[in-house]
Amino acid sequence: MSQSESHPSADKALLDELIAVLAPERVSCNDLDRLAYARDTFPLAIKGVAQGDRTYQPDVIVWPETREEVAAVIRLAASHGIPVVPYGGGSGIVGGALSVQGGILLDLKKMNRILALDSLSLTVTVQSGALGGVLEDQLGAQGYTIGHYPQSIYSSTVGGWIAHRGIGTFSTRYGKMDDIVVSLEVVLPDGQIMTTRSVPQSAAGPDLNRLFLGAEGTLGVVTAATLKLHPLPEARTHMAFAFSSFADGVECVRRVIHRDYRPAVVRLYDPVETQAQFSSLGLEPGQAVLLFVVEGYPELVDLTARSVREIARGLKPRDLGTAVGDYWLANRFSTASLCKTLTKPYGVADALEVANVWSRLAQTYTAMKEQMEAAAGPNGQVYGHCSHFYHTGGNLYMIFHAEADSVEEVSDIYYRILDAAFKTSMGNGGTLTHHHGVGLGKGRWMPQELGDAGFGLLQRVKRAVDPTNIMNPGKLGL
Amino acid sequence: MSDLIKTHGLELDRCAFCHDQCMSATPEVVATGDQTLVVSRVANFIRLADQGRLDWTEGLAKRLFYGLNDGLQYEYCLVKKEGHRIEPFLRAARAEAVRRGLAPAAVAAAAARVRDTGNVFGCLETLPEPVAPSRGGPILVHDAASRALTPDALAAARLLLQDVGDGPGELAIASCGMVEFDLGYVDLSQAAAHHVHAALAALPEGPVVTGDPVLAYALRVMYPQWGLPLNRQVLHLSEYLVDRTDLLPTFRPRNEVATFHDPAALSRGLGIVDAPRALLARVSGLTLVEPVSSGAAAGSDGPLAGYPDPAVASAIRHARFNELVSTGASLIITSSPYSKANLEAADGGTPVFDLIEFLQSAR
Ligand SMILES: Cc1cc2nc3c(=O)[nH]c(=O)nc-3n(C[C@H](O)[C@H](O)[C@H](O)COP(=O)(O)OP(=O)(O)OC[C@H]3O[C@@H](n4cnc5c(N)ncnc54)[C@H](O)[C@@H]3O)c2cc1C
Ligand code: SF4
Repeated sequence: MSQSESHPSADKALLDELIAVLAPERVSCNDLDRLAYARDTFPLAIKGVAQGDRTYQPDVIVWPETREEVAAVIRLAASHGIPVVPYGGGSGIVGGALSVQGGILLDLKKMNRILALDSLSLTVTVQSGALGGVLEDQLGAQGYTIGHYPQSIYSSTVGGWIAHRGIGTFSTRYGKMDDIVVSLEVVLPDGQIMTTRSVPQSAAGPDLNRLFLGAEGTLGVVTAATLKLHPLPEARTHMAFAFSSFADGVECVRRVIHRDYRPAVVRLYDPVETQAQFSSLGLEPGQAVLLFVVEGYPELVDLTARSVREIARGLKPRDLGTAVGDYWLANRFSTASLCKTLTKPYGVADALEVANVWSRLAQTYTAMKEQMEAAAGPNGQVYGHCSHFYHTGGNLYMIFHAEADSVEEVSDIYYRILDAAFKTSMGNGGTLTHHHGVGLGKGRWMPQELGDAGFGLLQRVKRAVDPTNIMNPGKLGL
Repeated sequence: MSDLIKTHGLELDRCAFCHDQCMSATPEVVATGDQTLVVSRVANFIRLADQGRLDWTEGLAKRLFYGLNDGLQYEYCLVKKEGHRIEPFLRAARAEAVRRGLAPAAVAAAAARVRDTGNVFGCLETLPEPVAPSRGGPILVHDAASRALTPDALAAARLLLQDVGDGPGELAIASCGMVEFDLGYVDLSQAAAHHVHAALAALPEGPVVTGDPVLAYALRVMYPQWGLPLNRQVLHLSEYLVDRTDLLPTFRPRNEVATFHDPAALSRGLGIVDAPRALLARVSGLTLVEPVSSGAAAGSDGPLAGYPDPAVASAIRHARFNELVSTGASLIITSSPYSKANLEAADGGTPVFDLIEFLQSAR
């Protein structure tokens, strides 16, 4: 049975029913609209749609404005047995928002209102389609921030952050979405609306928020979320150092974190990225730049900055002053080089983010770089940085650029490099993904990531919550 | 096939393969939640249509005209450093849509008004004879936008120019051609521009001043690109007056809180951000509070003219209006006829002034 047979595409009856619950202008099966939604930011989908490829186009797009409308759409989809794909900013780079089996695409960006702000508890409740850049501006005007600044903040939504368990560049102070979410409102695959309690902690069984963090729309649609807030920082300072090796840089960060300091931004560039980004600093080959940005209340900023500097000096780095931080703060949202490679007919580039514990972090970096370079071939380039750190370890952000010999081979080389990267990460005890999620692109490695028992459990959870498999089918390897 | 890719291929590719970092700065996307209006998608439609892989249709044309095209994306663009712009390819694609007879009704109606009356507002006017400046004084130039949308500001401009005493001249034109150009009516735009160019050439030397930043942008930036250099200074009134503050009258104290909305053509187009604020600082008692986005990154107030979707235009101006009033200001000041009209149309209760009109009212 073909995929399209298992999920018949939108028919006239369904369209009429959708129009009845929404409004004609909020339902579209127009060809242009479908093409626009046939990509998110998965590199292969960007390249495909640029050639007019419609492989991942939905049958119909809807723009709900309320949770009740979302629920009505889901009930309709369930009654017709048609897939539903939630879509936020479409900035996900693993193909999570692609309509692999057609169906209804639910663009949530009209659901973009702040519903409540509790200035005593420091929480904000917001609809899930709010774009990050707009939301932060609105909160900033009232003196607050969520502190979640992914590089894609101007093109991603709250729902997408939650669905992929995303992280921002200031994470070492403000945390990952896993830490930021207080409660969720979710439309379940049968159309029921579930709301978890906005409480600091609870012991009422397993945490249902966690079921939807990272679920990528496969278990329901997040329609609103209560998130932690912080007052805008009163002070900020930054400093950078060049270490004689990447491993020394890792060791410096470990000492800082294990001393319980939490600079907001910690970025350690490998020697290749160091040379590419900071060539003007005249650094020796092999050196690794480490940047700290510290922000918050002045007295804590002062203490943290002094202590971080002292800890760093113990490893005898070169003090680079403020130039690196100034440059990074001004350019932190740009991913221009990745996009540039994608414009080449045979070019492909991506950023793979894994994580491991301190004791295996540096070795995982070395092994991944080696394996990815071998897979990328002589025209490839691999480099990376670490930018999120925890008590037990940190992430590795491995970037590659490669060129195939023909258009047809682009996908082959892409998956060859991913395979090398993920098998090496997991082989070293690391994870498949630290914050981009799984989507379509990484699904094939999920059984290895979770193990047979773990993956089997995830499959059973999916079947129990969504027995007709209408919610974003084909993602998470399910 | 047209020459869109040949002329604008690099920019179209950059956008079509982009990670969309300008999405939050695309007001029509924020207002509609519609991914088909995201710049990368629009750029891709243009590429594919130019390659013959997508039909030129009314639906495609409509999406081309949703863009405010006021440069806001540039402030967030990830290839900003390389001088990337989207306005040129969008205007060229609009021109192609117009050539194919696919202009949306509102756009075609705007063009028809230009044909009938010489201006996009449909004002039937008999334009006064130009007045030559004396003693090398400035020439106050205005088109139908100022006369139709901010006549009080225009009257105030005349008085303030008299105050600073350079013997100003005046040239009333029907249209500078910028709105027509933006809407893809290149023939109408160029006809207007040639007319203005000839009228200015007939006047003695002296700088051109105008309270309309769209007009100033056209004369200063676009005319040379169109092969019509003016060989004279073109200044927005705020720039001109701020250099002559010692000659300005003393303003009455105004114990109020105001916020300034930077019009796109003024701040992003001409890079003028400080001059209006410096003039307002001369009004004692006036407290100026900044909105969340200001200067070159100021949020958009809405389209100039001929916008295909009134509901979206309304949502955009309301969003900006709300951002401005959330500063707590009791009055909004701007410095462009289009911006004033857009913000007034938001009808939110807080009064909106043109900068020059406000200064005049404070004397
Ligand atoms: C330039 C660039 C930089 C990036 N930087 C970062 C970074 O710093 N940190 C980071 O974490 N990620 C980053 N990403 C990845 C991406 O931005 C994040 O994964 C982001 O969280 C996706 O949000 P979105 O709204 O765009 O989601 P989409 O791409 O629209 O969707 C992603 C997934 O979430 C699901 N989904 C969306 N909304 C909902 C909802 N309301 N309910 C249920 N499911 C939903 C979709 O079905 C899909 O599976 C980056 C991407 C790009 C292109
Ligand atoms: S304007 Fe810049 S950020 Fe926006 S789509 Fe184009 S290249 Fe990308």
